Amino acid sequence: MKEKIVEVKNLKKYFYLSGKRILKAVNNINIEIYKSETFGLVGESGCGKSTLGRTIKGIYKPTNGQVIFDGKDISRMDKKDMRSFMLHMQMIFQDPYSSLNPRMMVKELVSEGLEIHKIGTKKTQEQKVIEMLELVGLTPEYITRYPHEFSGGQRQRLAIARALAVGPKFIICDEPISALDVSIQGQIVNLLKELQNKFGLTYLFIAHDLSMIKYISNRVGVMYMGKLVELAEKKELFENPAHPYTQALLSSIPIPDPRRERKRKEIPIEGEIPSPMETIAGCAFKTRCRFKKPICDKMEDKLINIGSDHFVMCTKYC
Amino acid sequence: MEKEKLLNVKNLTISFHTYIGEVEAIRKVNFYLKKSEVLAIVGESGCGKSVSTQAILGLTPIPPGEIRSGEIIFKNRDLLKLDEKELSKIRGSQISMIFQDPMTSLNPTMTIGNQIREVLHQHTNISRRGSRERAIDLMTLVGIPEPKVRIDQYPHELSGGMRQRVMIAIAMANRPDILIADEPTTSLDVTIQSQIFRLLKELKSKFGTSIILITHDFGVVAGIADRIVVMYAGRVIEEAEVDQIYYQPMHPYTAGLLKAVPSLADKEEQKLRTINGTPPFLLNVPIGCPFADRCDYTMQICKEKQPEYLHLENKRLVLCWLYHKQAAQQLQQFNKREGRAS
Repeated sequence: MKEKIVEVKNLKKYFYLSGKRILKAVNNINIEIYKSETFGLVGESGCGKSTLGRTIKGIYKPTNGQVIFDGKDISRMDKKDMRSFMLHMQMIFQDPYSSLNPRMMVKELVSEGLEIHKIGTKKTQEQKVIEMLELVGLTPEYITRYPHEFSGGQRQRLAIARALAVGPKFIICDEPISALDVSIQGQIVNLLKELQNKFGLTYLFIAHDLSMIKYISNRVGVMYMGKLVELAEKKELFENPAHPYTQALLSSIPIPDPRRERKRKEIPIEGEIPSPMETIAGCAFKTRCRFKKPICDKMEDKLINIGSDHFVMCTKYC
Repeated sequence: MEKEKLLNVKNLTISFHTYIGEVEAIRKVNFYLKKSEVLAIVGESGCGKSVSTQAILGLTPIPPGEIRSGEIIFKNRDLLKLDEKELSKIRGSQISMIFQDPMTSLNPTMTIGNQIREVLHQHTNISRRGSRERAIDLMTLVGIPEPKVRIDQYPHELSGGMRQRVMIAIAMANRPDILIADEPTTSLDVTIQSQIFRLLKELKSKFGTSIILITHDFGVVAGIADRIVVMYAGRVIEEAEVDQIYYQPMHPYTAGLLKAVPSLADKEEQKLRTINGTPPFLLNVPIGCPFADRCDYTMQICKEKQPEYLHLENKRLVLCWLYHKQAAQQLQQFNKREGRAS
């Protein structure tokens, strides 16, 4: 039996906008993340994947539902308990230019978590910073430098050092490589994998780049308009995508190989993503789906197991 | 050969004068574009791919920029020698451009229709009624649904993909010979990206437009490019037909960059091959090859002298000492690692 580290139960995060409009960014999502795995979350912009990550981290308070981390329901904790408990859950953001305070030295940036949680003395903290810098492939001489002196890839290494300093079990990586150059992306991904093996870390890896998700994840979830529409082992998902949206999404990825690319058959998706403020009864994808039937209007938010732990939310499989 | 070159960039060198000194953004850049072909310029940020193409339309900010040397020949004229008035006749009519971010390149206070019509009135004597009809035709051409309604809408009422279509409609309004697309899909989702590329391909086959496509991502151009120019640290380091680049990259940087992206088609994953280090800062251009610090095949000469262009058989061009006849041994190692007989 695989041990769960994070359990998301019927999680909803709504944003209330002016004019009584409601943006249902995360709409009734259930996910279990197991220890030491990488759970990849993909979807197009505006599908709610980052909001889901932030709600799990507690940056947003859930509108409804639960987030259970390490056996405790954090959605019901008060701020103080949460702060000390959330030490074990850290986050890395997309843009290493805006996620690091430009007025703080490397030393302060990396040790800020230790400082806040009052772990160790000044001296042990500094040792920890040096240890962390070496771990992520930066030289300890950098300790008195400021973020602007580093390149994008180096800054992302700093962000990783900062997240790791407090000894987390679970790290949410929200598009950690999308702002980086291609030759640097691989360096960061390899580093994340190395650290995972070394410390048995669990990752929630949020990205829109499907090839990178395929490379790094063990299991993958696909989101569309605030809902998780498909979930499976990586290999299964990429070889046998079941949801019409996933099928179209996978078929639209260009292949970096001219001969195969010329032969690639694409399933085009009609139209565009509806406004997230719109309430759509039943399946959210029905407005663009090739297989739309009247029954889709009444579809429930339920993931159907179609075998080998492959779950899909679609009336085709009812 | 010279004749079929619609656009020919020769020995272009551009510097930027900054507070900390002179940054040599591009050095001795050479590339050309043939009629009805798609040329992709691939490189990482700061490699000079945008600087090279901005110069074509006279968009280099001067100062701080300075064009040190070079020629850009288009229809027997050197574009670098034209004044603003002559350039503006070419811009938007014979050569046009689309940019990465369609939100900042469209005017938020003008309707879509007026922005398309503006470029029509600029270059032709079309009547007001005529330009409205032509704008609707253009919107239909680029696949904007309900053009008669959309024409009176503002950019904020359209999605990212639709805005990029509007940009393409503006760029295509006067049937240009050349369309320059600078990272046209980088800010778009993958499903929208493939729609935009399909549209560009359609336009090319319909009107014979030549396209220069600038991108940082080898992943996206395999299906659309005919020829590829790879840039690194301000220089063109390799140029070849698309298949040659993908299946037989000759420069170690090209080979490394191609292996640095995982593909959905990969059956089993190995550790991602990475290129160590970061590109050089062009304030102090290295004496030797700018890639020498990151290259797995660096030789003594690479650190001492800039490599010269080597034209190889099959019209290929590569900027690397590995192909010098004295480097045969090192080249063998490279070929071996790339799984290729030498």
